[in-house]
Amino acid sequence: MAEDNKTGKAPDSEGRAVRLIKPKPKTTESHDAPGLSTESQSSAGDVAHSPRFHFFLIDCGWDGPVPNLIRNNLPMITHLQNNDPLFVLTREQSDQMLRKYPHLIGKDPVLLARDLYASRTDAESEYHGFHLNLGLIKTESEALATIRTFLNFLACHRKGGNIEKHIQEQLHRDGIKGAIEVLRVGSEAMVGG
Amino acid sequence: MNPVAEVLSTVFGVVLVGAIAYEISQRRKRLRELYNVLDAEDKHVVADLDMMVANGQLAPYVIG
Repeated sequence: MAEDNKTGKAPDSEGRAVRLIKPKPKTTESHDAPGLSTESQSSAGDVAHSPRFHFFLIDCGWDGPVPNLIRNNLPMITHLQNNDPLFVLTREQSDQMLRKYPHLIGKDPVLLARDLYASRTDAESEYHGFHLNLGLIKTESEALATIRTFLNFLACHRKGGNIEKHIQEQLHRDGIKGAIEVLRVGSEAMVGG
Repeated sequence: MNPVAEVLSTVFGVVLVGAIAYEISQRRKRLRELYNVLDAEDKHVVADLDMMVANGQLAPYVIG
């Protein structure tokens, strides 16, 4: 996706430059993560008023319904996530990332949610956030449902300290409850539910 | 109960449970691929992106 980050313009679905309005750099809403101790918050400095996530879109510019869907719905991401910053890599920047990290090839467009609390609270942790590999989705309707689930999940758990646990329980559907949910969703899909 | 029927029922039951377990495993694998946690494997990707933001190579997307 060609975009001029320096000028703050992004192309619309037809590739034309669109004039854009800068989002609020900081939100006024308190992000008092229950899992974070007072010490960790004070050591993190301005945690209470900082964005929880930095979003990145790595997109080499594939032409298809799913890539076009995410490009057309970019405002929804910032709008529904308390205006946390979204950084859209240009096609050249995305190409460079994929050349450097070939395991991402075939998975882009990748929407990456960098959890800023992860690095601030536990420097030793190997959890840095999570990413949605939209390139693995084949149909537009499935992609839209997945993006909605992703944004809903982030909105519901953005104040939580241990979001990784929620990812495993709710998105990866680990455990017995998750297995039942996997079967329920699968059977609904089979009967067209 | 006929011993042959008993064996067949047991085998069928084992195959059925195995098939369900396999299906759950496959669907979970797909979910993990879709919503992948950024862990040790991706820390360099994250570091590069953080650096691009810090260096001003990336500016926040703004809604038009």
